[in-house]
Amino acid sequence: MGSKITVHFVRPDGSVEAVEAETGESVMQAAVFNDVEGIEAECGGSCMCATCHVYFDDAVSSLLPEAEEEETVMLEDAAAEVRPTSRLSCQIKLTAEMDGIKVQIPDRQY
Amino acid sequence: MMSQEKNDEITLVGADQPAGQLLRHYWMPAALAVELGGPRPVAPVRLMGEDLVLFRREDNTLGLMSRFCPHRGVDLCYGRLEGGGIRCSFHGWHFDQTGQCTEQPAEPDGSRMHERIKISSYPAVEKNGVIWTYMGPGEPPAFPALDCFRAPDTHVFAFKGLWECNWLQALEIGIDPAHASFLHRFLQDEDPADGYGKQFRDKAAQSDMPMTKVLREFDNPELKVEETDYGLRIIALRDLGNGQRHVRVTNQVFPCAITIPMSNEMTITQWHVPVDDTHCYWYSMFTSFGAPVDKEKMREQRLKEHRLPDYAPLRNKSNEYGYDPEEQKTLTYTGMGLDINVHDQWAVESMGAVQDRTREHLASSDAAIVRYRRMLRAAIKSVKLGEGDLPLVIDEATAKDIQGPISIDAIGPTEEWESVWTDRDAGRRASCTWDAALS
Repeated sequence: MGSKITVHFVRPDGSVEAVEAETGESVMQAAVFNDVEGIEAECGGSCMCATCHVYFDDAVSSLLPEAEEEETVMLEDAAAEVRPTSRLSCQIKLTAEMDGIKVQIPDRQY
Repeated sequence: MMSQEKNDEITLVGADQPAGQLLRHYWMPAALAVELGGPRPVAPVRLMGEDLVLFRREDNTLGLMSRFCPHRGVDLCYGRLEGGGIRCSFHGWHFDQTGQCTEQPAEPDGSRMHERIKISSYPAVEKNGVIWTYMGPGEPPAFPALDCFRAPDTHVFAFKGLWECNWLQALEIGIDPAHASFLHRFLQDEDPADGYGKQFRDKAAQSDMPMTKVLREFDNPELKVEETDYGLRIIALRDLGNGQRHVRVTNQVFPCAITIPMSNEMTITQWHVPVDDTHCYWYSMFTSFGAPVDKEKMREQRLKEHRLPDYAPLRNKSNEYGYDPEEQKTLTYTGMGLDINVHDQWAVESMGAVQDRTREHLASSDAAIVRYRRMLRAAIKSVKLGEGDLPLVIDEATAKDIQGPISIDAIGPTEEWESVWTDRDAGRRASCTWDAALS
């Protein structure tokens, strides 16, 4: 069991949904288990579907562990624009340092 | 994978639930026509969580009303059929064909209490051996001109079976082309000539290869999924390695049916109908493009595996579906016998009464399930917002143009696969004794 932190999901229209998440779970899990719209996660975190695509802001992006090849290849299939700050949220584990981060939801996942 | 709330939204079928409200916009199978074939044409029906009584009126039309009397809750199945409706055997309360209470004989003369009592009453019609009902708002949609409705009664056989699980996981196994190569794998091939009325038991298309062999030896098909005016067309392609490709075309008919090939001359259109949240019936209409169906033989085959009156399968969880580890070594992938229906039943029931999609990991072979769920969610949203068109909620004029859908196995040159299946289907329709032409 991890400790509680807050993640702010920013919707395409700019509105923000703050959810309670736990360190150790993925950003994707924080979204799905809090019923956040716009992150589909069809493959349940297997890095197989590119429907959990998100954007991080520059500052956070540089703090995250680098994407493995599997994620980079899968990201090519993402439906929305792929940016330097794009990641598959199922591959990003939440840590205490990430308390309060903003995560941008793209305009579409398919 | 999804949240519990999202799973509830797409599975629960009560009248106050999003999926229940969506499904009520469509005609649903309520019973097989034969269930009213006894000396007294009355049968209980439980549909989308509502308990109803189905009966044939004196004028031969069908009635479907709430099953339990609004007075003290007794069973109107034992009521007296009168005046187009039912008179309860307990105190003689009468309900006419609209469900309106017209008489309460034990009340004082001049009592008007009956005017304030009305039970649900839904329209019911029979088509090709299945009795359909509409439990939704306003006028029902038109029936699309599918083959199972266009074919004459001589060429359609209907049956049903109870599965002890939610309707959605039952539907989803029907739009999962990859599983047939594993769940239904036969380690040996039976003579296709013994295959009448049995799925996968015919030769594949124009070849000498039994379909069971095609599925077994080519277990990694390429899947193509496209949206159509009736739902989805799903194509599974298997390269046979000799410049030939096997094409299997199946369909999702919105919201809860599939159309799949059964043999070279028959297709199955199968609805997955909610009894309630944790039980469903599959209703199959077997449609023949060749000889008239041998209804007696097909019913006899299936009555060996199901008990009446509830059409519950004899092989079920209580007897482990007949699981035999010795058989699993030499004859079948599952060890659960030769009836592929039992394999499907095991798969959908062992997920649990309602599949817990919060723990799910879909794979690339689930492409059709993924597409279907998007359509389902979009339709549920349309109903919620009261805007947008629902697939197959159509008028008579549009309904004429929704035909087929084509469902067939074909083998041909790899590069020509797209014409191979349409040509094969056109040939089958051209030689059909009933008018099966697609316009």
